[in-house]
Amino acid sequence: MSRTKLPSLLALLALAACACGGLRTTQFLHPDFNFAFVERVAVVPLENLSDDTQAATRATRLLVTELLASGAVEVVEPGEVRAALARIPGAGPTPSSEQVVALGKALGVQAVVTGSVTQSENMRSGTVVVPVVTVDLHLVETESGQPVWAATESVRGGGAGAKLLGTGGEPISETTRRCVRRLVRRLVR
Amino acid sequence: MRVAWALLLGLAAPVLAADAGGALLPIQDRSGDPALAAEVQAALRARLFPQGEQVDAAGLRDAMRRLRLRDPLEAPPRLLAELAREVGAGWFFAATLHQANREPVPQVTLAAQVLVPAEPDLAWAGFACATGLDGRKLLGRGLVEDAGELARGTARRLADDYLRGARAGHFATRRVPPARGGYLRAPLSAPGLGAVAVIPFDAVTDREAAQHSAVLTDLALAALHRRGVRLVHPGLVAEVLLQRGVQSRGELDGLTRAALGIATPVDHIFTGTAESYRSGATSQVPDPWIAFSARALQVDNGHIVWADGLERRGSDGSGLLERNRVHGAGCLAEQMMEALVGGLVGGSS
Repeated sequence: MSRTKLPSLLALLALAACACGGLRTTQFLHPDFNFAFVERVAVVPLENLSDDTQAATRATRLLVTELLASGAVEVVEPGEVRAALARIPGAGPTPSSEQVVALGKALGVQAVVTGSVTQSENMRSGTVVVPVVTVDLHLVETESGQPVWAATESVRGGGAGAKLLGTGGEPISETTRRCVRRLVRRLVR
Repeated sequence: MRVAWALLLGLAAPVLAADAGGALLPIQDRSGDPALAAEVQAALRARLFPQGEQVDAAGLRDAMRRLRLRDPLEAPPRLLAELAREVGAGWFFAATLHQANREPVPQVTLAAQVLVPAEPDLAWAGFACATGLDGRKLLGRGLVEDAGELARGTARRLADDYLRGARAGHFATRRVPPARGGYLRAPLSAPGLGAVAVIPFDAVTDREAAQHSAVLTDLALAALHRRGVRLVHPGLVAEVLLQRGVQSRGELDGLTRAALGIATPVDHIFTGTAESYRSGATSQVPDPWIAFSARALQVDNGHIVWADGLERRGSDGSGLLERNRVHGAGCLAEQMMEALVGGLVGGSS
């Protein structure tokens, strides 16, 4: 390869690397909490703040699978969480501290995962459609109802080929999966 | 529990002729193509009953109408027993046409179950999918352009699968790689799983969610059956869900789980979620893209004993000259479900 072509190839690769994958992550970690104490968690259905009506359901399902796949914790069956929430007056996707404590007692869990999908959309850039998903997760311990971990992750879907060459992008479920997987890896690493 | 069920259902259906033959129930058409549905029905009838059916088809339809039995898979065995008594049948073959495309590439996706009225278990479950490109050879030979021909061939294959009692079937040579990132609490085997109830999958796909949910539910039944897992009659499951007044899809609360445990001889529950289901059927060379997850729960304590998910495109691992490319969404979903269920029950996939 000639010397003149090498810089442009490197620039192209750098552009491709920037074009795909994740954006910045924000994270909070409680300095004194012992995470080894958490053996069993419940995932409260995530709140949907996006225009995509299925975004929260999709992310919740993926989150349950990713948490189980991590092998770090046991996860309560989502149907049982929904039923327990229905028994606690006023409980929803953003439970109060008291409601989290009640949920912990009802389900026998040490922590509850709550959160929201703040963005789930296919953004158009010229002729290319790029899915973008942003998920915000909180881990709340059930003795006091206080958050012990929180993180926000934003992922832009589609490979470099999709953006540079205008080929088909990935479905939004894949982008959501990568976003959720990154969050779970931050939590259980 | 099985003896109790047999006695209970035996009381409901005291006399079933010992030599009672089978009956082909009217096909459930979810594709919106009644002409192809009729072709499938005719092909199944010819294959299953070459000497002619003992049960009169018109009489069967009338009896179903009288009993208000629309979807046989959601009918409790006691209602099926009543139907069996009226028409003099010993078992029912219930088929569903999930997908039928005529253009640009013909595609057919079929599922079927065999229901024995006096049994709490599902007797058999199968699934078959084909596209006109599946048998394509060099210079375009082997293409099937006529959707009717494809539908008849797929129906015959499904019927043969039942008649042979085949377990591995036609997809044995093309397997999706084992899933990575799954969760398994402890190694399980088909006998170790005991009786499994399949709760209908839910779907978070953009469009046609109900159809995707139905395809994956039927696929789960077929894949578990092929692995030798005992399956609870779907009608029993539907009856419990109906009695509990819940529209459970893809999840189950503790009370419904307990009710299911009491009302049916079930040890584990299997369910999941369709996350993405793109058939790509409008393309000249379809490239389906499917993602779904599934999990198994213990009935007595609600523990999730297994969870896994897969995402695949038809063009993944298509190899030289795209010989291994999968064109049909149903075919791809079938391979994926086989791989996932293989991870749960064990085996070679």
